[in-house]
Amino acid sequence: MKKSIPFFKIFTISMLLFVVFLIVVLFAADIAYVDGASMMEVLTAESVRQAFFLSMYTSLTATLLSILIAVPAAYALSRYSFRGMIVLDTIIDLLIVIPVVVVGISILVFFRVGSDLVESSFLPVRWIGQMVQAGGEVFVYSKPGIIMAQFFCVVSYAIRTIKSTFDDIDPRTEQVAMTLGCTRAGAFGRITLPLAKHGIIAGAVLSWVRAFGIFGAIIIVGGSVRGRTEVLPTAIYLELSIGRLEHSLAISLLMVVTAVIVLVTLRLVSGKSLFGGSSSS
Amino acid sequence: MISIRSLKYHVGNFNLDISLDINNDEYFVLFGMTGCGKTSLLECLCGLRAPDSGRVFMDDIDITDADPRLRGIGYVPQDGALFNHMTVYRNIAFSLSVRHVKRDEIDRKVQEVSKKFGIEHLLERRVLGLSGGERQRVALSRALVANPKLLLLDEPVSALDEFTRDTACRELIKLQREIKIPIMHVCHSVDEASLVATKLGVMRDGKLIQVGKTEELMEQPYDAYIARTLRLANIFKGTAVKEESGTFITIGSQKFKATVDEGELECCIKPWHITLNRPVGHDAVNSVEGTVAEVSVMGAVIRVCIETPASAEYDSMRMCAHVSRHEMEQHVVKEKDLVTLYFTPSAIQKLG
Repeated sequence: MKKSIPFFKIFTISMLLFVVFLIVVLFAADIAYVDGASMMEVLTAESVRQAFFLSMYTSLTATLLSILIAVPAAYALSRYSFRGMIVLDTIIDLLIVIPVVVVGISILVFFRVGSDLVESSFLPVRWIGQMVQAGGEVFVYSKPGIIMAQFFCVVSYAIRTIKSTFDDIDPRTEQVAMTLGCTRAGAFGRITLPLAKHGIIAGAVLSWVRAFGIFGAIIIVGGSVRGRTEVLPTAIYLELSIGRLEHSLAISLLMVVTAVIVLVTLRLVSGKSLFGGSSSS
Repeated sequence: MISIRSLKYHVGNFNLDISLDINNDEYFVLFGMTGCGKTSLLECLCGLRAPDSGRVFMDDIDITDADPRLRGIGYVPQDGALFNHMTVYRNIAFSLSVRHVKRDEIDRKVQEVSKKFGIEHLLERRVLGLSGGERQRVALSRALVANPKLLLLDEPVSALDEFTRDTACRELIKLQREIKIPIMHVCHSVDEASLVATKLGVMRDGKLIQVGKTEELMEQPYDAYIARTLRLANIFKGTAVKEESGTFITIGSQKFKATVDEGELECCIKPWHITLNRPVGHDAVNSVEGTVAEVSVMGAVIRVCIETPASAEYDSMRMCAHVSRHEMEQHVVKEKDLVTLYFTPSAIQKLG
């Protein structure tokens, strides 16, 4: 019998190659445009160095905070069901679907409205107002504000990714662990957490990548003060706004290279694809 | 010994209501259709679900409100629920390491239990990649290493092929005789239940409707539901009328002598009490003549089903007999042959 042509396989692989080609072409254009002098200037500039380290510091801190909250929150969403759970689930998704600029504006408005409560004649409300006002002084146009903006922009992604991992783990394994001598928390720590390791790392990487690249919310909450609150995405914007396209592209490439190094390192360490599937196939 | 006293649990419209005793020398099989509450009962016993009311006693100690980890119950769910991120050794040692047992003691007990189940060579292997039978042995070893007082097996052999299943069932019986703790084994295979059970309980809608020895349930099923659940053939509706020569049941166009009370009833003509006869023409009481519609091998016996001819007034009647191989060799019956089945009045069991 004549061997049939695997049209479907050819089609799917073609689509994969097409999208990879588009990505490669996109970055190839960037590389082609940037000259060596601009690249060196960017790499040696003190402001870019500061922006790089601030980007790394804020994005890693925001990622750590979001993972610390996302792991138990995702577990609750995955394992428990109660009245109102669907509302909580929807609110978590809200942060994924709204633009990050809205997150930034909402943070600013929160501190503004909260500060207005200081003038309330009702004492508890006034206390709340004072607390929010103090929070505003800490967070608005400051490094903690950048972390806060990044946290709000990434926490839902972390929860969603980690929840899907918990969904894939049979609750029966935890139940058996409980009959074998574990408390519920012990079963979570000894069984579920190790089984969810790759999903949690994937959630952390997704969160970090997103936090590292956020622009809209950061520029609204943190501003872009060179040497104080300037991160790499805002540096790109500032360079572009004064017409230095080569410099903004050089900073962009710095971000791309950083992200690639982190992804490749984690892939090598974990030995498999972070976002599911084996690399060996 | 485990005693379950009016244990009640509800979820949605489903209500569980169980009272049951299992002695240390009993291998209890909990039998029933999917969704009848078997797994819910096991989870209540393990402490994974909190019952609404009722008590559970283990050796006269009330464990109803005890934490699952303190109950001393070994639980083996359907697929074993092994910890895939651990080696076989760490799976088996889990309950001991959680309880901070000394390393050399853990090692000794793991070696001991793995030897019992013939899996010493697997100890350093990871769980992923083990066969179904190996997984089942690891799950049993893990449940037994801490010397539980009760072993709960939720369809422990359902994932195994037929040959491995039979072997595993025989090993479970042997195990129960060795460790002398009550075992509750959930299944929905009559063959599996017949093989392992010293006591059988049939559940329906959250209630145990009949408990007894397997032979008792097969011979005297409480009602038509149990008869059908135990895959008994020849369940008919009929009317019993007392006549001068005895009581007779009319089922369709057939009339059989029986030892039952008068009235409308549902009955089962037990297939293993039916005899096959050739040549046709046997006119004894309780004989049915028909064409062979099915001949199938069921282990040691052969199932022969006949169909009576339909008439304008009555549908065809299908009746099955479990015939020995020796009997089959005598009569050489094949499909479409005309044969007679006959049975004594005691073969008719009233249901309900």
